[in-house]
Amino acid sequence: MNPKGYFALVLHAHLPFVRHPEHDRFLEEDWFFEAMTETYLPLLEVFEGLARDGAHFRVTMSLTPTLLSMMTDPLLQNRYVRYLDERLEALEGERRRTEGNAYFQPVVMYYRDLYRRLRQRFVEQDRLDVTRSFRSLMETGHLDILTCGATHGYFPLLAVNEESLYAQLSMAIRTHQRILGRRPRGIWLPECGYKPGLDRLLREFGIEYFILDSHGLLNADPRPKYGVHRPIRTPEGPAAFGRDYESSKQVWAAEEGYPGDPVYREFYRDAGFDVHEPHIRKLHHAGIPTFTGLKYHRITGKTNWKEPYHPGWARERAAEHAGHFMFNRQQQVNWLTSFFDRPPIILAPYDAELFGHWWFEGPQWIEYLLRKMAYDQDEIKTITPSEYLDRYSDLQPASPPECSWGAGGFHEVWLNGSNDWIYPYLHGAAEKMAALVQRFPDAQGAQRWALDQAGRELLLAQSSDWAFIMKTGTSVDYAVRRFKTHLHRFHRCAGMVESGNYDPPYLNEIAARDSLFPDMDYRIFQTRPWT
Amino acid sequence: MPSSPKTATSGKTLKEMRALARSRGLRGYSRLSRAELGKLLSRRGGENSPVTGKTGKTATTKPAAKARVTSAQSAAKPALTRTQKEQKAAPVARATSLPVPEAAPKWEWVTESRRQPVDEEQVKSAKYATVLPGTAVPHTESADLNEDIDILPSVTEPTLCLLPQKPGVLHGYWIVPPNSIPNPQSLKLRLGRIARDTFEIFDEISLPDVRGRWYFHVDGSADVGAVYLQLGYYDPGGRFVTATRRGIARIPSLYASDRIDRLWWVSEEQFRAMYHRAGGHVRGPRLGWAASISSPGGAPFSDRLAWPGNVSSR
Repeated sequence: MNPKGYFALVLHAHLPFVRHPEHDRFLEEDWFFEAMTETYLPLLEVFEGLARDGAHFRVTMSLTPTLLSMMTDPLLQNRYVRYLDERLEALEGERRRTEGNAYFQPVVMYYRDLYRRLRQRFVEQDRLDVTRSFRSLMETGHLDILTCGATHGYFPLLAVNEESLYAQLSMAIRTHQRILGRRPRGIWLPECGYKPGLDRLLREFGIEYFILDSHGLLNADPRPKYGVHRPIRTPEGPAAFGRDYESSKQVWAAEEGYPGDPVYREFYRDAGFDVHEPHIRKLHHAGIPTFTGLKYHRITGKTNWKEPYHPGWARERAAEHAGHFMFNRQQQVNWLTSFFDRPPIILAPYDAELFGHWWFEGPQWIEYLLRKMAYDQDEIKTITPSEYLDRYSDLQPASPPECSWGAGGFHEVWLNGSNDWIYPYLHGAAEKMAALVQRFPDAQGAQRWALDQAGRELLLAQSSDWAFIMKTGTSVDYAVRRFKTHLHRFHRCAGMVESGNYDPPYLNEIAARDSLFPDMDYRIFQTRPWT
Repeated sequence: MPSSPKTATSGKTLKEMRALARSRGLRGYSRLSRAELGKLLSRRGGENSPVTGKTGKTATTKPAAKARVTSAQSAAKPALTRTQKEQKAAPVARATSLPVPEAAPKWEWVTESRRQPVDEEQVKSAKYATVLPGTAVPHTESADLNEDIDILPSVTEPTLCLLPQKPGVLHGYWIVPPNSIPNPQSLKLRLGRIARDTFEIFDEISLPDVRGRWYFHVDGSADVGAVYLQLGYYDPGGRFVTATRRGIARIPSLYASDRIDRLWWVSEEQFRAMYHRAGGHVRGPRLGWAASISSPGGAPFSDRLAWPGNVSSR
């Protein structure tokens, strides 16, 4: 039986490339370890469980090239095992500390079981490389994996140098293919940043579709007959899907959204700040308390008074919220089909890290939602954008406007008084890189080595995360230093090429640190696909 | 002294100036008087210092080759509108803003649609959090490669760029290396569009310094097509001579298209219903989006720079 409508869950998984072999431990590497522990591995557990049970489900995920690079990096893989071991050791201390405490010991034991389980699967099942598991879910058709910009460069503001866009796309597709074994059909444009004309580049790279925020479709020209509930065909051919506002709101909204429920785990209360025992202090960085991931309280209310976290209650609430969400999607589909002449698609994109890292119970909510959609109703069916395009290829032609999914809907998050200083340097460096490609079209030896590394450094400097962090004020110092470091390294490499004086020890060292994209070819910085 | 700072904020209300300060990422402006805020904006708007970032040191700019201003780069001075003629006669203020900004937005936010930026930023930046908000992050620095990253690269060519920030606001930056252009004090920035073979000026400012950045506010309610930023000077004959390549940008659209495809016909009522349910605004004759409210001709109001429905957009 054909469903009345389709639901496409899209999870955008991304972190900037953070890897510091020059330090034994480095605080910002925890971004990756925390996301692995709370988001990526729990999501894999959910998807594998559903697949094992034979439930019909489809999910779309973007795994950015920087994230794929970190997931496959041996240094980070080993450090992640150390991260888990350190927490398991600390949890043993916590077990002793909370002995006889009926409020907190159950939470401690819950974490101990969770960390043991995750460690076991990471070491034995994933054999330290989680991309294998994502890949096998992709091969069974449950997961559609999108690519993204190579380093999540924000396309509308990099477009001053078209070579940068070609480079971001070329390296992204190479990395996707190298690690996941197939070319991506779709792309998650970094920050959903779109600029008219980008569809031409996507077509040149064989990309069939991308995703925009709601106004990217609703303000398209001419008016889209089906609003955001059916993709449009851009002038150059790729399809553009639009974000459904109503389903986004229920998960993202601060007050009316699900993650704010008092029963759910509180993000900011962490044993790293609350417990002053040697076994917890071992997890601090340079003696300063940091997040440990061991959080024992629930949101409770708006005051600072927080009650103990109860995983069972939270799980029940996640199931209720999943039912509520599905009910609302059914209502929405019924409303849409009252005037649509074909099945609508409700596309709900989120940052993957929202689920688990911010909203700890998010992966459970996804599991309940997908199970309910598979077993409890037949009005809505989950689908991937690729499958939707295979079924319905007659799309309305329309041109999307310039837009993003950042606050305000345009470029203000990545271009404002806190971060606008970076653009003259980014544009200048891209211009220099493009000139070097033209000047040395067939570099060999040390020259090739320096040019390839210059390409890596420039891509890393282009990451939209630095501008975002400068704007939001978290870890600003790190973002500024990363931007300046990559810019410095780029110019030093470019200077070697220009002068002919190479510094092999320096090149060796920075190549070992900024080691992503082993198949880098500096000629990606030209105005044609180089894959 | 450059005259531009006065022109940038003249005619703006305190609320608009505060919003302008916000859009430039300034802090602590809410306690300032109008005059103090005007000074701050003038200083920051044409800020000439190269990047200082968080690590403190400033960049250096090395002397560069002289830019050639050829006759080919010269352009005939465009015909001025009446307003522009009047303003040109004035000794100081040069900035014009065409089309004229509207005093009030065409439609208002519905109260329940305002987001709370604090909540949103918490969610968005959580994945980069390592310590509690407001706590100093332990910083490990590696100096083993002798990399002086605070010395940022110098720019040897005159540079000019125009980027769209959001509907109604464009960001321009320029770098004029020392000795690259004769008499840099006379340089001006002109923002405008080409209409009926003439360059229609939206805004014109004297260059506050040889290196800087500026936010231009133009009417975002109408599609003005491509907008150009020129850097140059007026020769004794009144012709504008461009000194660099121009910057080009299009102002992002605020509104739904008025065009309907015959083969994909959609009724006004149906489209409005979908637009409204998707968080857009359907008051008045046009269908507009969130950021539009911040734009018509002026700076955004901080409490309106929002995404509908308390929704984090990341």
